[in-house]
Order: sequence, then structure tokens, then C-alpha cells
Amino acid sequence: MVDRFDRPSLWKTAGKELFLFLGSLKVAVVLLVMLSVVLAWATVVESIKGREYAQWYVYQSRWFSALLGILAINIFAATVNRFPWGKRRIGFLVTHGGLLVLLAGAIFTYRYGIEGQVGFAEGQTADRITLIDRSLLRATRQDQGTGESISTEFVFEPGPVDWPPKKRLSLGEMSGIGLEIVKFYRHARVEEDWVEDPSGRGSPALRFELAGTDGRAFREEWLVADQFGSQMFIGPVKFEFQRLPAQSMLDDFLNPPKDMDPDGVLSMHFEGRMERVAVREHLGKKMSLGAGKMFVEIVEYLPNAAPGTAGKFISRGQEPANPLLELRVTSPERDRPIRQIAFAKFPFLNFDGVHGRDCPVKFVYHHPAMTPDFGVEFFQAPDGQIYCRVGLNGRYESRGAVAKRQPIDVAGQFQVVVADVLSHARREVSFYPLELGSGERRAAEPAALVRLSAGGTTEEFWLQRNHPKFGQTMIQTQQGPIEIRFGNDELPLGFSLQLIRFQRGLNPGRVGNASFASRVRLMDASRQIDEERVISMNKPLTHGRYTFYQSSFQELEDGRSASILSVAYDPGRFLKYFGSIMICVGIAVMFYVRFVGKGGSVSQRNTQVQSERGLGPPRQSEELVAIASRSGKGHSPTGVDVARIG
Amino acid sequence: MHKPIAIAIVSLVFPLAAFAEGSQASFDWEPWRRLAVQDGGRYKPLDTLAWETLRTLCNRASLVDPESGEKLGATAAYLTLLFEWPGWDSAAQGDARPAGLFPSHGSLDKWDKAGLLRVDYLELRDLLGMSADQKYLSPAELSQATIRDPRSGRETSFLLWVRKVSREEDRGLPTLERKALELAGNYAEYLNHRAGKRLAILPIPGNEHHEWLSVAELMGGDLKGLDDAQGTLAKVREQFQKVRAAFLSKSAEAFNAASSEFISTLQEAGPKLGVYPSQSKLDLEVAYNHWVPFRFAWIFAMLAFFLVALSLGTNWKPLYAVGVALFVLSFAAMLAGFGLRIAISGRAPVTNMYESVVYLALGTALFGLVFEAIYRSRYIMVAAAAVTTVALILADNSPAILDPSLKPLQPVLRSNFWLVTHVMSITLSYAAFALALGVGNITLGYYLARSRDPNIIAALTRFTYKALQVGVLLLAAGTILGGVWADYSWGRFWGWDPKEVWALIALLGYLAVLHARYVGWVNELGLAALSVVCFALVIMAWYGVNFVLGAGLHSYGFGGGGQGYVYSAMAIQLLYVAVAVTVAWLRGAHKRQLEESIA
Repeated sequence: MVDRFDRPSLWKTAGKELFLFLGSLKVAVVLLVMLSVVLAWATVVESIKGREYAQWYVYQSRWFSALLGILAINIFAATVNRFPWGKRRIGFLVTHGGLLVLLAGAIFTYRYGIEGQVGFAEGQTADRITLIDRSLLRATRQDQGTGESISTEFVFEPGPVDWPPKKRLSLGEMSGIGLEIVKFYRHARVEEDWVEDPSGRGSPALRFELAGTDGRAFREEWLVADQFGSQMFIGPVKFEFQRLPAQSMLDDFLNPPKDMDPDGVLSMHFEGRMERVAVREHLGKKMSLGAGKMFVEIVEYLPNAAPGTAGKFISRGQEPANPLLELRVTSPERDRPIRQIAFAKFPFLNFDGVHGRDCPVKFVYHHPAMTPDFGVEFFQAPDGQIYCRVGLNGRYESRGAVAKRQPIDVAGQFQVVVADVLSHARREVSFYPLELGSGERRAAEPAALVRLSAGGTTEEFWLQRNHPKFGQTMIQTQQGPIEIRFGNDELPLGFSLQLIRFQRGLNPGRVGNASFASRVRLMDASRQIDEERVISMNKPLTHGRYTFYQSSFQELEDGRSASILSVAYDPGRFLKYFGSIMICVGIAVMFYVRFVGKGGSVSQRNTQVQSERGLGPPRQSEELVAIASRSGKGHSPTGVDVARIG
Repeated sequence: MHKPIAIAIVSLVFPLAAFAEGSQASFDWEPWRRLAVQDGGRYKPLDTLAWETLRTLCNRASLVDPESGEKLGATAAYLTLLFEWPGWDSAAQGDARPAGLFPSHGSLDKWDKAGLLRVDYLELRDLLGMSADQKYLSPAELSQATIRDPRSGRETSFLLWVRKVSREEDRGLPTLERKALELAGNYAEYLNHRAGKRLAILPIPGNEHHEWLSVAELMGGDLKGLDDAQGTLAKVREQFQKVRAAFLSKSAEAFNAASSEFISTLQEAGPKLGVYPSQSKLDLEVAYNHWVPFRFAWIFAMLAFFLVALSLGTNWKPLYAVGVALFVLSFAAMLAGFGLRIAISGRAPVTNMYESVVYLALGTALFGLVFEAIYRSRYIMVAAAAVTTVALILADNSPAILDPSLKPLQPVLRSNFWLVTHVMSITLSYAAFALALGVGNITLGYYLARSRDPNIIAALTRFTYKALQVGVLLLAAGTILGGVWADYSWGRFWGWDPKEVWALIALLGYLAVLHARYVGWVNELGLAALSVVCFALVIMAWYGVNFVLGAGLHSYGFGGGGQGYVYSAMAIQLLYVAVAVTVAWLRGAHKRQLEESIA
């Protein structure tokens, strides 16, 4: 047996002492326990704060790498300390060497590996990998000389949490564009709201609340009265907000005529007065308004109007499905008559403003075939006051002038409250961080307040990553417009994949998913490859250095499916697999292979141990001493000696 | 296993194991049990559907007719509920309105008023105004129950409240509301089952998703675009009415005749219309349901435990021999059970908590028998039999937590060699650690009993050590195989997923123990205590990640419940260890040993 007491005295220097200590079993036990505790704590952190957080603050952190590094040093030192190894150390050596190889493989993967995603809808082609953890701000502008568009990319890793208020990140300056992240929310919610526009542009807007009989609001919505007003349905109930161009129209809407002629009644509003005429009696007749200031002629009655040729309307039949009046308004002061129309169904749809001029006479056409929708209609009179009528049981009921927060009865079931009125509304977009544990959080992309400085212009704006609407913005600078887009960092594949079809298999009877598969077309010009392949669950596609795995899918609104593949390149794979095999084989050898002869049978070893006890420091063969000290019978924990009992 | 002999043995020794189906001697339910149905994404015999339905609704294997007092086996009960549904007569006239949350048939019958819905969660009982020891509620009571909304404090109907709660389901609900949803779901299932909506009996030809037609659709005339050129469906409909009429008239002869006519029509028409399972496979599943091999297994294992333990005390050889034989029988029963499950499901039976618990029992028994064959020590046998018994009893008696039903797999778990080897070696390592736990407990028992025989302690320590070695090797291999699977399926070898991390923690924990023993920090007593304590790491990796932490990629294995039992069991174990170690310390055995070794 080769004995370690024969080692040169060189080993006894301080550095070697340290090395021996680092490789000692005691340190190993302490490290194993420490690592277990840290890992257990990390899983608890993960279950509270989420996967991303644990990855960032524990598993990917430097101190965790350091802990693993110390473990690696311990294993390495322990292996070296036992040199020369001898036959019976084979199991030990292979196992611990395997661990080192495995860790080396992990380092390779961590440093040089690529993990990303490819997401595409059916028909789309992808030639880039999206790197999920890395954010990218891309500034694009036109070169003023050549007209070419120039892109500048700023990449950063924002981490898994909202940034503290004071944290800022300067992304530097490239080709005259400087970017800085001033605020960052890891999971953001966008809220669009309407606020009073101080510039006095913008249409009136109204916020109403829908409440139960107990007065508790369960829904609120905005209505904005732009040119044609706004309309929305909540369930079967219609809500509408309109701006009235003439004060006299108020009475017309709140108290529409009853017991109408079969072809309806036309209300004409001129100079603050309303005049109602029966259509059938006045068809083709010229009527005077304002003591001869205006003349109105009902040119044509179309019971079921539809657009015809050359801007004319035609009627598709005699059934009054969409009654329309063609009107001609003439003024003695004007040479050309004004053409106007009045729909019974759409009282605010007419030619006003269409040809660049407004008709001085306003019309409202009431038709008996048009039964009121079940709903609530708000009107803003020219003096700014809001009025309301309710369509109920086929009739309109006036609710008169509406005060803020005053409940309006609709039916027995619920009430409507006008909560807010803006005379000129402007849309404002705000970003909020999402609370931890909120259900929407999982899918919510981050948002950042970005400060752009370019050529003397400095501007701050919010962007939400990959958002179709708020993911990019156009900033006007002295050097021309710059487009800023917030997305993920990407990497070119070097070839492209087109999603032909995403197939989802269901279990018999449509219960649960049975399989996912993406049929793709792989196109690689450099290798003259253009062929169809299938990527399915547990059947990845490898091409070049990348492997594509079926990860998830989305059903798009247009009926197509989008497939999401995860992409990986792992340069440490061979080392990891090799290390793994070494570990398994090594443990098996250590526990179950008996070496007899040179290198020591059990009895020899134990004799050796006995003799060591009185001789030297126990450190160098501490495990053997420990065994010997524990049991006079000399059984070994390697399980080599067998004594039958019973 | 020969059927009559097995019955004889079991009914002699264990009267409770006489679980013959149904006592309606005259009504023949046998052909019904073997009828193919489609349910939960797979084809199964009606027998399984009936068992599963009764288990979900009321956790019973049979029902008692509230009027006649007759005991009905699962299939008999299921069909009785179906045939006696008061809605059939209107349904036959084409009125198959959806049952919704309230019965569409106006009148409540005896079953609606019977306690068919089990409420296990105490807070839910309280909410529903049930007394703490009242386990069952009738569907009628539930549909009429009013509760006080725990959030607003207002009086409201239970079902309306549940409907409101269900809208917030994806945000994550408190336990009470989850349990309430579950109960309301069971109530809706009760209505659906009674109305024949869940009894799908015939394939729809050419259906892309292999959908089947349910009895409700058949009787309600909603044939899902199926044209009935051959008049098969009309025939089936007519025969079903005949069966029902015969059943209601209590005429066993007429019922049996009508039944066999109805069933043979289905069995003839089925394969012509679409995918229809083979009768032999269905029969296999009926046999599996009937024989419950894992129940035999625990009964045998328990007997083996007592006999071998007794032989340890008395040194009477025949006891030992019979004990070993029984343990071998138990092992064989488990093998048979696994064989049947594999044959029925067509996949390796290691995909849910139930199967892994049973697999642990199998593994422990295997190691127990192998070690026994090598060492003939009897301690290992006792430990293995005890662990096997406990695991199998748990699996057999907690269907709410360990669901024994066979379900289709998630796509990522399908046809995957690495998954199977990974799970099998990990679970096998748990079995080895469970064996170490058993032997460790016996060792602590010897310390408690002040037995100072160093031979026994040394032998026990060696066995503990051997079990730990097997466990460490398998756990290391299994964890690595898990990495291989993850690499193969997801493209990453290791991602610090909680399940991965806990498997690693368990491995590190046991490695720390083995290394500490090399250092000399752990003696015999310590090894015994640690082999028990470290099993907590296995429990955490195996159960805790899914049920306590509830996070990570392995979520398809997730379920809920049982925490109380697991914590109590762990607390008792730790208490036992603490007492044993304290006693040993007080006796100074440990100290003396230390002094000896230092001297």
C-alpha cells in the first residue's frame, strides 16, 4: 500500500496546509450542508417572489457561483490531496472528477450557451432568435444626406424587479443619440384615460358608472362625443353620447313626436326654433323657414336606403328598414342649393362637414318603424349641459338635465351615474407597476421611462416592451424624427424557418391536449436546404448549432395559430453528459466493486488504520481513523466487509 | 393468482376485503360493467366510470337505496341513478335542455334528497351550516343552500355565490372558495351523470376529435350531425327505453334480456362507427377494478410484517418462512397491479402521485427481498414490510389526494424514454431511502429499548448504510437522467427548477451524512437518526414541491391536500427520533463510546 506518510516535507508548507484544509472532508460536509440550506431557501424565495426573481438573485448571482466555485475547489483539492491514488481510489476519483467535468460543462453552457425563443404565426418566417432576458431599445432615423435609415441598438438586462426610484441606467451615446432609462417597471399595466385638454381642442367626454340597485358601481366607461358621437353596448344595453349642434334639438330628442304619420316626421331646426312636418304630406314641397331666410324641400323618401352609384342613395324596397330623406336646402343669399340627408336610424349621420361646409338647418327624422334601442343616451346641449333619455319598452323617456353623481334609473335592475364630464377631452396614457400576485402579472411586459437626448433635444417618454401600440414612439428632434422601439434583443439564426401549420392533437372526446406539433419549412441557402420538417413535443429539430423545441402556442384572433419554439445552443453538453456518466459509474464502483490485492483488501486496510492511530496526525487519513475509532469490529462504511448476522 | 383460492384466503383472514359487487342478485349488472364508454379523454369500461363517479361525488364504493335500503355496487348505483332520473320522459320528447346549475326536471326524487355529496373541508361545512361531523349533503340541500358570503357578509344562494367566485378562479382562490367550487362542480357532475350527459356510448363517425355520443344526446335527438341511415340509433334509443322500463317495473328477467340486447347492439355498432376499444382491454380493466391488486399487496405485506417481527422476538423459524412467503406474494400482487395498469394505459405507471407512492412500495419490497436474500437478517424484512404496508394503505385510502384513476398524459410526458427512466430511478431511490428510514427507526427502537447488543446495532447500522448507498446511487443517476430528459424535451440540462433543486437538496443531504460519517461526526446513533430525519428532504422533494411550494415546471404533477397528515406524520417521526436520541444520550452510551475512541 502506498502510504501518504512518505510524502516530501514540502507538503507541510503553509500553502499546502491550506490546500489540505480546503480539500478536507470537514469542509466538504460544511459546504454540502450550506449549499442545501441555500438551495432550500432559494426555492422558498421562488415560490413567493417568482422564478425570475430567484434566478436573478440566487441561481445566476455571483455569490452563488462563488459558492459552487468553492465546492469545486474542495472537490479538486480533495482529489489532489489523495495522490497517488491507487486502485481502490478509482471510484472516488471517477466520481469526483466527474463532478468537476460536470461543473466545467455548466460553465461552458453559462458563458457561451444561447437560450431563446422563436415565435411565429402560421405563414410567417423567422430568421432570428428572441433573447427573453435581454431588452433592446432601437433608435431609427433617416440620414439627412442619403435618406437611408440608420438604426442604433442599445441592449440592457433590466433584472426581475421594478427599479427603486433613484436607480437610473445610462445606455450611453451612439451616433449622436443618447438614451437613459429613468424608471423601470418589470411588469407594467397601461391605462388610457381621458383628461381635460387645456388647449381647448378635443371633443366632450363623459364617464358613467353602471351600478346595481344597492348603488355599488360594477363598471365604468368613457363615452367621447366626436363628430358622429360614440356608442357602445354593455350586454344588450346601448350607451350613447352625442353633442347637439342646436339648442332646440334638445326638446326634439327628449320628447320625440308620438302617433306619427306612416312615413314619419321631419324636425327642422333653424335659428333656435324647431318645426315638425309630416313627411308624406310635404314630400316634394318647398317649405320656408325663418320667415323666408331658408327653404327646405323633401326631395325623396327612401324606405330602405342603401348607397347607390355616383353618391346617390337607392331604396332596396318598400319595407321601412332604413328610412332616409333626401333634402335640398336653399337660401335666397346663395346661388347653389345644399344637399342634405336625414337617416331615421342614425340621426347624427349627415353631410355636415363632409363637403367642407355645414348646413345651417339641422334635421332630425323620426320614423314610426324605428323602435328605440334599450339603452341610455346622453346629449350635450350647446350650453354644455348634459341631458339624458332612456329607451325602454319601445319608447323614449326623458330623464331631463343630468347632474354629476345623480343616479339615473334605467330599469329595475340597475342605475347609471354620470361620474365625470370633460368639455374638451384628451387621451392620456399612464403606466403603473403591477402588484406582486396579481393575475395579469405573468404575461405583462415591462415598461420603461426613457430619456432621449439627440442634438440638443431631450425628451422623456414611456414605452412598454413589445407592445403593438405603446412599444414604439416617434420623437421629433432637430435632426429629424427618431423612432424608438422597445423590444427584446435578437440574434440572427443564419437560416430561416417558416411555420406552415401548427397542429394540436386532442384526446378522444376533445378532453385535454394530446400533442403539439409545428410543421415548418427549413430554408438554409448556405447549405442548399429547403425542406419540410416537424417539431413536436419531445421531438426537437436540430439544425446548425441550434435545436428547436416545441414550447407553447397561441390562437390568434384571425383563426390562425402561432407557435412558440424555444431555441437552445449548448456548447457544454458533451462535458455535462460525460461528467454525468463518470459520476454514476464512479459511485457504483465506489460502493460495489471490491479491489483485492495491491491497493489493499479490507483486512490489510484496517490493520493499517490500527497502526496509524498512534503514529501521525489523523488529518491525512481522517476517514479511516474515524471508522476505526467508531467500531472496534472494524466494519467499513464502504460496505466491503460482510458479516452475517442472525 | 388463482381466483377462488385468493378469495378464500382473503375472506378468511380479512372479512373487510369481501368487496363483491352489488347484491341485487336478480339484476345482472355484469355485462354493463364491461360496456365501453368514453370519459375523461380515454375509453374505459362503465365499471371504471361508475367507480370514479362515486369516488368523486361521495368517496364511496357503493350506495344504499334510500327507499328500499338495498345496497348497490358502483355500476348498479350509477345505472339506478340514471334509469330513475325523472327527466327521461320529457327528454324522450326532444326536451333535452341543459341541466345548468338547477335540475331541469321540476320534481326532486329520492336520490336528489340522499346524501350523495361529500363535504370534507371543515370550513365549508361551517359555511353551509352543516355540523362539524356531518359529512354528506344531498344535491337538493345543496341547490337550496343559502350562505353568508364570506367577503360581503350578505345572504346569498350557495350556487350563485360559487358562480361569482368561479369568475375569479384564474387569479388564485383561497382554499375555502376552491373547495366550494369543487363541491359545486361535483353537484353539476351529479346532474350531468343522472341525465346521461357523461355517459358517452357510441362513436360519431368521421369525427375529427373522436367524440362519442352520450345517452343524453341520443335520447334528446341531438345527434351532432350524425345521420342514422341504418336506423341503428333509433334502435339503440328504443332499446334503452325498454331497458329503463324493465328496470322500473322491477322485472329482473325482462331487464336482463333488454340489457343484453341493448349492450350487444352497442358492441356491434360501435366498431363500425369509429374507434371502439377492444373487449379484452376493457375486461382487463374491470378485472383490475375488481381485484384491486394493491389492496391484496398491503394485506399480505402487513401480515408479513407481523409474522417476521414475531419471528424476531421468538426465533421461531416457520413464522419467518410464512412471513417471507407472504411478502413475496405481496410483491407479486404489486407486480400484477403494475402489469395491469401498464396493459390498460399503455404507458409506464410512474406519472402521478398515486403511482409513485405505489411504486415506492414496490421498490421498497424489492430492496427488502434482495437484502433479505443476501443477509437473512430479518430486520430489513421487517422494515421493508412496514414501509410497504404504510405506503400501500396510504395509496389505497386517500383517493382525494392520491388519485388512483388512469388519466391521459400531458403531451410533454408522452412517449419519452428519458422521463420513464428518470422517474423510475428517482422513485426507486426514494424507496431505498424509505427502507433506510425503516431500518433507522428499528435501530432507534433498540436504543429506546436499551438494548446494548453491539452486534445488533452494528448490523442495523450496516443495513441502513447499504440502503443509503443504493439510494444515493439511484438518486444521483435519477437526477442526472432528469437533466437528460429536460435537455431532450426543453433544451436545457439544468434550470434550477424547484423540483430539480429539491432532488439535488435531498442528494446533498444524504451525501453530507455519508461524508460526515467518514469524518467521524456521525456514529451509529447519529446515522440511524439522520436516516430518519433526512427522509424529510425526500418528502419535500417528492410531495412538498408539488403540494407545499406549488411552483415550477413540474406543475402537471400538482394537486392539493393532505398537508395536515404529512406534517403530523413528520412531526411524530421527528418526535420519535428526538426521544430516542435523548434517551440514548441520557444513558451516556454515546459519551462512553466517544471517550473510548479518544482514549
